[in-house]
Amino acid sequence: MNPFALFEDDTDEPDEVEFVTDTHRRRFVALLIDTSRSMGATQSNGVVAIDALNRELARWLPTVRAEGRGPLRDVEFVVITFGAGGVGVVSGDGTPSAEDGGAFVPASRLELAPLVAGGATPMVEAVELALSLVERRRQHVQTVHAQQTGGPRLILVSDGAPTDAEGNPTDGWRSLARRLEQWRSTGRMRLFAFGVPGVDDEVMRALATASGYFPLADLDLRKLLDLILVATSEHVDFDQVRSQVYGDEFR
Amino acid sequence: MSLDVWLIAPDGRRSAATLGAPVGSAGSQGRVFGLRDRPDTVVKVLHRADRVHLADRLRIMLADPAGWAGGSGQPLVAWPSAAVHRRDDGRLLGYAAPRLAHPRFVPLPSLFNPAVRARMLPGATWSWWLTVAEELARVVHVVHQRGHVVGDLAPANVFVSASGGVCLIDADGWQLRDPVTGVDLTCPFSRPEYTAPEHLAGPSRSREPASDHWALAVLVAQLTCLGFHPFGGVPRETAGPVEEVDNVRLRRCRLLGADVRVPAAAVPPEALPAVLRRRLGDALDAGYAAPAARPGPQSWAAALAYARDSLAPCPAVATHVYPREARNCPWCRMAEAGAPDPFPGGQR
Repeated sequence: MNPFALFEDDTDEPDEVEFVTDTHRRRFVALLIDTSRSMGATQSNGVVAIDALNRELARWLPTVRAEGRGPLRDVEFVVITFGAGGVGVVSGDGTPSAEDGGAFVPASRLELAPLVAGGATPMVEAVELALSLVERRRQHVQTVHAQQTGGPRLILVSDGAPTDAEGNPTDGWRSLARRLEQWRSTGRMRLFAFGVPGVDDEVMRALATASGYFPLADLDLRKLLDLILVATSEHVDFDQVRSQVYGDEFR
Repeated sequence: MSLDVWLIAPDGRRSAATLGAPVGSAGSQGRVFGLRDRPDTVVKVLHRADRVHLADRLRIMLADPAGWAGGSGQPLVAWPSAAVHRRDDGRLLGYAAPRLAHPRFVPLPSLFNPAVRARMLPGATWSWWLTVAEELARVVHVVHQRGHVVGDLAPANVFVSASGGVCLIDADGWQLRDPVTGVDLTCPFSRPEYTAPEHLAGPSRSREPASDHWALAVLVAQLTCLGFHPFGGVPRETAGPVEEVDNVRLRRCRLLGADVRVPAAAVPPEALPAVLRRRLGDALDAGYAAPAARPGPQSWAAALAYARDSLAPCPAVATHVYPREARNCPWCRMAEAGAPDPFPGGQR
C-alpha cells in the first residue's frame, strides 16, 4: 500500500468514524437547559419554543459530533435539563452516573432525544448536580484512565427564575453563587450563562458574574446553539463570546 | 451569510465579493468563510475584540512581497492576499487567504485521532511523523529568517498534507516585524500548553525566537508520540484538576523521566532515538530557564532527518518502523502491553 496515496477517503459522515478516547486529556462540558413550562408556552418565529429548540438541536448535533472528531475530540458532554420531570440527565444512559458509559459522552457521540417542556425551574438543583457530576467524573478519569482533566465548563441556558421543585421561588441561588465563586477560584470552573427573554438577569449575573452572563434579546435558538458551540471551544474567553452574542461579528 | 465585501489587494485594487458559508469550526480567534464564486479563497473574519492593530498587521503582511511557498510550490503559510472590508460602510473585518486545497491539507489535530488516522493515512508509518516534524521545523526556520515569531505555535494552527508537508495558518496572530521600521507587533495570545515558561506568567510582551524553540520542541515531542503531549500525565499526588501547563510549571515532563501516570496508549520515551531525546532534554530541561539552550529549527530538522534515515523495519509488522538503535520494536511492545497498535493493519 502506498502510504502517500492519502486523504483520499475522507468523505464519510463524521459519525461513521469510530471515536478513540486514548488522548492524554479530557475536558468536561456540562450543558444545562431550562425546559420548564414556559418553553412550551412561548413562541419562537411562530413555533412553540421547545419544538423550535428540538428542531435546532437536530441541526446542531451533527456539527457537534463533527467537531468531536477534531477540535472537540477531548470533550465529554453531560446534558442536564431542569423543568419537566424535575432535574434530569438527558445525555449518555440518562442516569446521574460519572462512571464510563454513564451520563458523559464524547462530543463525537453526543445524541439527545427530543426534549419535553413542563414543570417548574429547579435551576439551583440542576447546577448542583452538574458540579457533583463533573467532580466525580474528574476523579474517575484521572484515577482510572490516567488522563488529565482541566477545570470543567458549565453552560447554562434559562428563560426564567429559579424555583423549587414545586414552582415556588427560591433564593437558594445566593448560596449557589458563593459556591460557584469557590469553584471558579479553586476548581478552575468556567460558567457561561445565556439568558433568553423572561430570564431573571439578577440571578444569572450572580451565578455567572457580569462577564460570563450573556442576555439575548430574542429567542433565536439557532444562534443560541451556535454560541454554545463557541463557548465550548477550548481557549475562548468571555469577550470573544460577547463579540458574537451581540451581532457585532461583522461590525 | 451573504455579506458583501471588498477585497483590497496589496496593490490597492478592489474587487467585490460576497461571503459564503462558514468553513471549519467556530474557532476562538475568528471565523473563516468561503467566498461565493471564488472557491480558491477564504476569508477570516476576526472577532471584534481581536481587531486591535489589525490594520497595522495587514499592512505589514500585505507588504511582504515574497511568497510563502516551498520548493515544489506548496504553501508554507496561509498568508493574507487581501484586506477584507464591508462594502456598505468600509469597515475592516479581516483578510482573505488562499484556500488550502492542492495538495490537500487537513488540520493536524484531526490526525491525532487514531481512528481518523487509520482511515486517512492507511499504511503510514512512524517515518511520516518524523517527516511532518522536520517540515514543521523548516517552516519555523523560514518564519524566523523573516524576523517574525509564530508565538501561538500549536497543532490547531498547523495543517499537514499527505506527503508530510506543513502549512501554518493564522499568521495574523504572529509577532510580526515591520520591515520598514524594524518594530515588532507583539503576539496577542498563545496556548499555555505550548507557551515557553518565560511567557507563562507575564502579559503579552515581545517574544524572542527562543520562545518558538520551546513550542517547537513540545510539538516535535507530540508529533513523534502520535499526539501525546510531553507534559501530559497525572502526577500521583494530584488532588484536583491537572493540565499540561501545571506540569510545565513544575517541570514534570514524562519524556524526561517525570513520575506521572499516563494511559496505556502513551508512546513510551524509549521509543524515541537518543538523538531526539538529547534535544528534548536540551530544550525542555536545560532550556527551561535558559532559552538560549533550546535547539533551533535547523538543529531539529537535522536531527529528525537523521532519525528518519536511521529506521529499521519490524520483522513482524510491515507498518512498524523504529530507531535502528532499539533492540526490538516499541510498537509491538506497546501492543503486547495492551495498548492499541499505533500503526495497525501491517501484519505480515
